[in-house]
Amino acid sequence: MIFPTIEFAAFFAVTLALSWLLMPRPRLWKPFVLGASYFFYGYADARFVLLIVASTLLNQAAARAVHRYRDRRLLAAAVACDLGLLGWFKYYGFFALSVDRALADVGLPAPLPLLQVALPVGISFFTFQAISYVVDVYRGGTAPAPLLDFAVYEAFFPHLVAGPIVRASEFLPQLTSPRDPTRVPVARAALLILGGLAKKVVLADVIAVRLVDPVFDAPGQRSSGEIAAAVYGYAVQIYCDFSAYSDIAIGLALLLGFRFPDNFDRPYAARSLQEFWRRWHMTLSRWLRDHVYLPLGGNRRGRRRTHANLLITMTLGGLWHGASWNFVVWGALHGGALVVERQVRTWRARPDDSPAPVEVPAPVEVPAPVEVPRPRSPAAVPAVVPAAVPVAVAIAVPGDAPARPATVLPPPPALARLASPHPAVRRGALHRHRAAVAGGGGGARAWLARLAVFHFVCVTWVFFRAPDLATAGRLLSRLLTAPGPAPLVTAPVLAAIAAGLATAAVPRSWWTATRVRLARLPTAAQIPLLTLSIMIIYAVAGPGQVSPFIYFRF
Amino acid sequence: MTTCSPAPPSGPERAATRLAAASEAAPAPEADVVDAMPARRVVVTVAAVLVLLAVLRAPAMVHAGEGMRPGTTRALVLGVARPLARVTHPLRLDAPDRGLARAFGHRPGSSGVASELATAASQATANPAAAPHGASGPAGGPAPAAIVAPPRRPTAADPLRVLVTGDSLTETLGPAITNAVPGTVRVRTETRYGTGLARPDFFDWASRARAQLGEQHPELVIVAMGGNDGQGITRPDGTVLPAGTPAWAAEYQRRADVVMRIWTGSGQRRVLWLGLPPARSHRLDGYFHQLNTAAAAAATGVPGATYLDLTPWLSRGGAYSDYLSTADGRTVLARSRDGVHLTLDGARIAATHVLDTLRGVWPPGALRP
Repeated sequence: MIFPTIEFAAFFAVTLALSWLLMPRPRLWKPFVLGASYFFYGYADARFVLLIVASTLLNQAAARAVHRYRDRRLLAAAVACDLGLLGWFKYYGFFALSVDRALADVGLPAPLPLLQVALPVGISFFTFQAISYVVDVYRGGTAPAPLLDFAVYEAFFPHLVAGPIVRASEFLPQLTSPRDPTRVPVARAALLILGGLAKKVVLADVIAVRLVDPVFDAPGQRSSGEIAAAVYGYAVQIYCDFSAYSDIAIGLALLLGFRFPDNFDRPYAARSLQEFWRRWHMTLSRWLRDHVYLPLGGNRRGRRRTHANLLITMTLGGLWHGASWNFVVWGALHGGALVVERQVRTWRARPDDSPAPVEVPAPVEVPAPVEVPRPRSPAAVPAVVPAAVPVAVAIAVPGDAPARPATVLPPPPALARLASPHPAVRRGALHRHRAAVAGGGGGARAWLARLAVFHFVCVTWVFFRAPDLATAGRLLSRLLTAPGPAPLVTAPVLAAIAAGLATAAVPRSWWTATRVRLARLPTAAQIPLLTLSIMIIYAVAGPGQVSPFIYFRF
Repeated sequence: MTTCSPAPPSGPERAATRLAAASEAAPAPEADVVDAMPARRVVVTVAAVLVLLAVLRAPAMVHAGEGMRPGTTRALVLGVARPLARVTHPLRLDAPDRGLARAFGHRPGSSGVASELATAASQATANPAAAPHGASGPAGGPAPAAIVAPPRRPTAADPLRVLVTGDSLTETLGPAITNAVPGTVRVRTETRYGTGLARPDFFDWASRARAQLGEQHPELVIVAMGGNDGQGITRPDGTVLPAGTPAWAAEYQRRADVVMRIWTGSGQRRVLWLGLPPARSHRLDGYFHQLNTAAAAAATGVPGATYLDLTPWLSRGGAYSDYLSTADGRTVLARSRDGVHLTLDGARIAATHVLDTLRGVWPPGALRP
């Protein structure tokens, strides 16, 4: 089922009502929401429900076993099973064809049957959540949950098909007590859902249909001007598309009484690539950090090893997006650039410039969830992170943060003070940090850094979007060598691109003010206002169909 | 419906509240206090917004329902939306939405009931002399090509204007053809997802074809559609022709004839109608065979129209295959996961043969790479 459809609207209205009705009785609520989630998932293809049930049973058994026996081999077996499922469904065809071609080049027969395996929607997301749960249990960060709780965590429909990738430690505690039915942040949820809808159907789809698709489909017939616009356009399109899905998911979860971590935090305002990755698809970044980068050794095994770890992590992160060399190249480019950035920073660093990276061991006890501030984020949902460690989180150098806690790590220098045990110091530091961020911070140099990072990211998106490497190469070469008129670059498209970029400039206070204003309205005014907003969004988009979200494919 | 004060939180929640308060951690304390609605009112608000949307956008709901695959959901949505639209229209409740759409520059969609596709008599049946009867080949009857204007020789300055259009099959065929043509050809692709000839109530290809001619002035229209037409066809009198029946295939042929004639404009322009490649599903593949036969038969009766059967290159011995071999012997994944569409690699195979076909029609060397 897809969010902006009639089917989903009807499904959600019924689910929302029954969910709150049953909320006081978890014994009824949990099976209900699990059933609803399976219905949501199986709506397109019921067979895949069996897959998610199998994944749930397997990982629950594994979690219990690793909790009891603390045996690394059990953990390895469970992760191998998960990756095996993912590999079979997502990568088998790509792998078999690559082997086939490589052997055909040297004149050998094909050893593997070429099959087309059906791709269950969302398998990348729920598999990653399951792995994080089993690993968390093994590390002692999370106690094994009751089967029903874990099943709900893995299948909860708002995040099931395209994230955010919610941690077990963020979600499971929310299941232990009924959600508070007296305080639903409906204005925040409405802003997230409507804002997401607008980003998707007004900005992303318009840019895609009018500019990006025609250019990427046939770069040979397009001029440099059109290609340049399409490169920027795709950067805005993928942000507006994917962050829209995350926003809608977070908003729907809020209406049901649940809090998800943020997934995007104005990524194109980042002043370094490292910062970009703390602001883009944040829940995937931290998953990769916790489950790939740090297990590989993080930055603790010397410079070369650190660089290799960064490259491996980002390349695998690229491959996660799909079985194609384009994604591998895209990930490797980011990994390579992170290495360069890190090296440059090391050369520049003076001893008193920034705090040394601190690796904090994972806490053993299960911490109580706590709401921590998420500065800089418009309409942010407070992240739930373990109370025992928020201070420790802040001092770790981003990207090398400890395995357990933390969602997004703010930049280190100002944040060192946030770690202070004195609330006053902490508060001051937070205010300064927020002010720095709100004001843009850093003057001309910061802007140069932003522009450089943004353009690097834009160019790498070419590999992400192009159907194959040859097309990506042709696009980039024509970017510089194909003068001529640019009929696809029209005022509405440029306006949509500008609006998409401008979403990074909207001060946080505006969101809060809008939210407060909306919340203060009487329900009798809220209802027509929300209805009218949705009507306007669809009127701008026109009568065409809404195209599927990009991240459905991953 | 009152904003009752929250019950004292317990356990982890209390810890959370305390910590949040202590560190001033709440991102927007004022907002969090103000923005707190009781769940009951949330449910009512959400339901009210959705009901209002259904009432004010009833025509859009009908349209969405018409675009769905036949089944329970479609029946349910249309079962609600159609009566609703019948009630809201006289009350002018749909006026605000139409006004909004117009304000943002969208023309109201044409109603499928009056579609030329459904009502126009086929030229083929009206003029039996030009119609090949039954399965007789193009050799029979007067040669339709005689009335077709000879193709001009395009140049880089004045390229041949080609429009690739149809349903989602054109999503990969369009780019593949675009990338295969020489510099003397300018290709545009117009993909209309989920459309076909069976459902002018959802999308009317007859009126769209006329609009395309006015907007884009194509000299050649390459059509790929039918992927969504493996379903019953409703005639204007309400009778449904079940998919797979001879009457259904005949009606499809008639509609293909109507839309081909619009595009060719009695021989001024050319149409290349691409046959559907085999489908993985046997049921669908059976329908596709019938649709292909119908389209091929229609093309023989329309001056300027050509039907191209791609099966020899997009199958293994006529049978569906995910992986196919290219001309240079490489194995590629040619079909998408749904077993209907072509991947870009598959579309490239098709594009090669589309180009070969066109080179046979245009003057020698006119379309040389």
